[in-house]
This record gives sequence, structure tokens and C-alpha cells, in this order.
Amino acid sequence: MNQARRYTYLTLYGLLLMSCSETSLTSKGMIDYVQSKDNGLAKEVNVDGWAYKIQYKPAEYILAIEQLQEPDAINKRTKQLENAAWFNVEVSREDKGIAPLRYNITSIEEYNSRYDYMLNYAAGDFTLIYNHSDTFKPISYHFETTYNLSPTETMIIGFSLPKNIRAANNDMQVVFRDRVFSGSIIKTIFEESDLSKIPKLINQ
Amino acid sequence: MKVKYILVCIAISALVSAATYYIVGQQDQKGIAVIDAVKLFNSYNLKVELENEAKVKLSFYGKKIDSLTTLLQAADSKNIQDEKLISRYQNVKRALDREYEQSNQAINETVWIRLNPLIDEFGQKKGLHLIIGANGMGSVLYQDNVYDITQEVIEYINNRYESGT
Repeated sequence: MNQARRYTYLTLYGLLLMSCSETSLTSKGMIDYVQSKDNGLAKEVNVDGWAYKIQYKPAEYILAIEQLQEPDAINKRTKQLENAAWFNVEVSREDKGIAPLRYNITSIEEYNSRYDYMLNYAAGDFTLIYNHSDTFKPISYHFETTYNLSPTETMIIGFSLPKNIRAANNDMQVVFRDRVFSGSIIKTIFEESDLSKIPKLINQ
Repeated sequence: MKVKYILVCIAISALVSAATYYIVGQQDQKGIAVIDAVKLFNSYNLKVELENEAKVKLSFYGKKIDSLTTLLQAADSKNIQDEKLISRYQNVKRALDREYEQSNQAINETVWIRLNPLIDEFGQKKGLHLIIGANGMGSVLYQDNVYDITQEVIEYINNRYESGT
């Protein structure tokens, strides 16, 4: 009898492990998964010494970072994040030698003009093309200034998705017309095949 | 006699095939390719998009010049020499020329900064030793399709641009 019970427990434990290993991750595992370059959710485009790191932030990743504990708070936050796609866009010199806003400036006016662009105008230069057809402009934009303490400038951008799409499940192309650093157009695609593999977050 | 004749024919065709195979093989080993640089530049999506963007600004000046021209013609038909209008026309024309030149230069620089590393990367991936850029100015006087990889490179650069990989 004891033997039978032991086998049952072992089988159940094995099933639990298998279900968790493939599609569910802890907060730490989720953060590592999303930030890894191998999973297609963190992209980098390099142009003329500039590095643009574009990080897609699925709702599970944001919840993992925010470490919410209360089920009500988790539900509320999940609802807020639905029907939108969130990204962090980091700009830096490839050698991380100097803060981008200070790179090769010749006057304080030039610095202020770059700063002003990042604060007030860069949002207008972002576009999301969903499923190769629908074009969206940002619904939310925030420039995270570090006052040149870090060699990276970060922009947090949110786009709404087509109606009834709770989380992105088709190809998404992010387009940034950079008018300040490289003066080029930066594009990257987050593929449906990678988006469909995003694991679930285990509520701890 | 007939058998001997057939054998000689077979031997000759085998020799010719071997020689052709050797020559073509030698050419492949040299790893030389030709790209139509003008076609490549004009087909790069980044160039097309930057140019479309510049056109909006240039058309603004174009419309201004059109309306000033109409005013000048009207004045001319009444034999009026409006110096202020002429000076305004010349200023806008100069601004248009300056804008055109600056945007052209900026587009050229931005596009070649992106294109050059991609062409290097393509050459390395394909194991090429030399890529010649034909630009219609006489650097390449003749090429046959064997060496022309323009279309393949256009697809490569646009795919890299659009996917950001």
C-alpha cells in the first residue's frame, strides 16, 4: 500500500516538474528568459558605433520585475497591461565609453537640443507594425534620464494592439527613426514563433 | 575502324569537359563577384524611405516656388518689376537648392554607413575574395551573369534591414 502511494507521489511530482520546466517559470527564470538573446525577445541593432537594444516586455516579464504578491494586485496589473505591447529601447555607444547625449557635442545648446528631443519628440519617431499590416504610434512614452551617470539612454514605449488581442501573438516590427544619434532608421522584428513560446509566470 | 573513331571522340569530349570543369572551378575558387552599385544603392529600403521623407520637406519649398512664380508672372504681364517679390523668389530657390544638397549628402552618408559592413559581411559569408562595384562609370566594362550577384545582395541587405538581425 505504502509502495503504491509512493509511486503515485513520485508520478505526480514528475508531472509537476515536467509541466513547470517547459511552460512555467519563476520570476527569476522569467526575467532571465526574456532578457536572453537566444529567445528572440531581446534584439540589438548596431549602426556606425551605436548600439540599439530593443527589449520586448511581455506582461509576465513586467509582473516578474514588479514582484507583486497579492492576487488582486496581480489581476489588476495584468488587466492594465492587456491589449498593449511594451518595449525598452536602450541607446548606447558600442564601447559604452560615454553617455550618448554627451557624445561628440560641441556646445551646451547641442546637448540641450538632444535632451529635448529625447524628452519631447522621440516618441513621434517610433512606430509598431503589427502582423505586417497594422501601424500603431505609441500610447505611452517615458525617457529614463540618468543625468549622464550611465552610458545608456533608455526609452520605455507602449503601443496598443489591435482590438481583442490581449497579448502580442503575431509578428511585430518596431521602427525607430533616430534623428539624433546615428540619424538612421532602426528596425527589428519580434517573430510570432518566439512570442508563442513565452512561458507562463508561476505565482509565488 | 569505326570503334576507334568513337573512342577518339569520347576521349576528346572527356578532355574538353575536364578542361571546362577545371577552368570554371578555378574561377569559382578566385571568389570574384560584381555588384551593380547604383542598383544596389537605389534598391536599399533605407535609402527609399529616407528619400521619401526628404521629398516632403522639398515639396514644401517646391509649392512655395510655384506660388511665387505665379505672382511673378502676373506682375510681369502688367509690366510691373516687383523687386521684393523677385528677391523672395531667389531666397526660396536658394533654400530649396541648399536643402536638396544637404539631404542628398546626408542620405548618401547614412546609407553607405549601413551598406558597407553588410557587403563585407555578405562577402565573408559567401567566401568571396573580391567584390567589384560596377557603377556605370567604366570601372567594369563587361560582366556576364555568372559574376553578377546584385539581386542576391539586394535581398540580403533588405532582409537584414527589415528584421534588424
